[in-house]
Amino acid sequence: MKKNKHLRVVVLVMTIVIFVFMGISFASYSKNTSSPNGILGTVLQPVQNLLSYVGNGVGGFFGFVGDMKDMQEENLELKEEIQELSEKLRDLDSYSQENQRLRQLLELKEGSPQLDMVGCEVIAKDPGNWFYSFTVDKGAGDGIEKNDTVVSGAGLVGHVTEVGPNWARVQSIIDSNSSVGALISRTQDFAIVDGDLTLADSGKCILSYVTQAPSLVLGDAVVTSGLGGVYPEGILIGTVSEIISDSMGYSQSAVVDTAVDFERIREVMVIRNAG
Amino acid sequence: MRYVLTGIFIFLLAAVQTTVLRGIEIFHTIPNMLFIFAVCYSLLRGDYVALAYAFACGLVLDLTGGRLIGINTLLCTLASYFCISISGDLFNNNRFVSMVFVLLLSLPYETLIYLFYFVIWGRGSLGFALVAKIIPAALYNFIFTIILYPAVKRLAEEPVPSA
Repeated sequence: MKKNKHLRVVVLVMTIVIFVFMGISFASYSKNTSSPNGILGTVLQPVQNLLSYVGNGVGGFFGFVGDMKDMQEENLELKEEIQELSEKLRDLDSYSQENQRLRQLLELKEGSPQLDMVGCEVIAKDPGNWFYSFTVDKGAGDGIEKNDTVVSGAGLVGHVTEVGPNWARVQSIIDSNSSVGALISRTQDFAIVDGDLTLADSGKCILSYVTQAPSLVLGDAVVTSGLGGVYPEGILIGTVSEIISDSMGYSQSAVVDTAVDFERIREVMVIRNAG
Repeated sequence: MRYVLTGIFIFLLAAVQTTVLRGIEIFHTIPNMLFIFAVCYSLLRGDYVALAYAFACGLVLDLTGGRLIGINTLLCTLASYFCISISGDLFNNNRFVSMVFVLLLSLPYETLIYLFYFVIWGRGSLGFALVAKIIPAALYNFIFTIILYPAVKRLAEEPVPSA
């Protein structure tokens, strides 16, 4: 009984307090003055700020973890795409180079309509380390004969030393057994361009039997002279890159940078019955 | 059948030697797979069959090179003969022994080629030939034996007769 009475009193007091707050709230709302809401809000605000900051961080983290999986997948897809595009770019580069080489050969053929040429591909090279010959994929069946001149878009390559029905072996001008009758374009001096073992790996030859006067100049173009019966005249052999005078001063020799890049040679033209 | 397979293997070696091997040249040097085969096979077999195959390897080198036929044939045959004559006296069924023999025999092999094709005709420089051609070729042959040896051993071993 005493307890019930005590409880009734507490509820009554709480009801009165509630009504008082309702009254204050109503009054402050209508007069735009600070209200308990505002006071509580002011007190709560820093706490809310902190909780909101932490909550956003936590939410952001979980959001990031969720996004990471998507990003990983996207990353893999992009990497595959990059690889695919890189391969395509390499192919395009290769086709572009082949196009350039073939265009050079076509220009050569069109520029010399009087020469009967056949295009060939290099299919094999010398099996050892001492010689610089290679095999092409056309032979007697295509009208190629021994001693036919072989050229590329850049210049003189060599001559045919052996012929099969559908292949031919070509000795390049950098081979130490090679010897080409040459002419220095500027001075019209005759000379001989020989292959040399010590220079072959760097794609060079030796120009010899040049008289002292007029003297050679670096950069002089050296072309075939047409003498010797193997190579037709006027085909570019290379340019003078180094001049060597003998001690007596009677003659000069020179190192010739060949016009053709023998390390990357792929397509050539054989001049049929040129010699 | 084993002999046919060995013949086909030599043919394939020749094809690779003249084509794709240029793709792995180091300092303008490629290994001589046919010579490596001739030496390893001779050490492993030690009989006339090995001599015949070495002869074939040398002949293939001469034919694919397009020069005078004989020098590579002779040198490979002599190298094989040397290997056969000593193969019973050492632990020849050993990759490292084969590698050492390939290295030691490559030096005179390349030197004799140089002498025959250059020095006799008054051309060339021995110092350059040694540093730029002979020694690098011998070293590359030595290393490449590691790759070729398992296949050669497989071809050289006699099949175990079934019980």
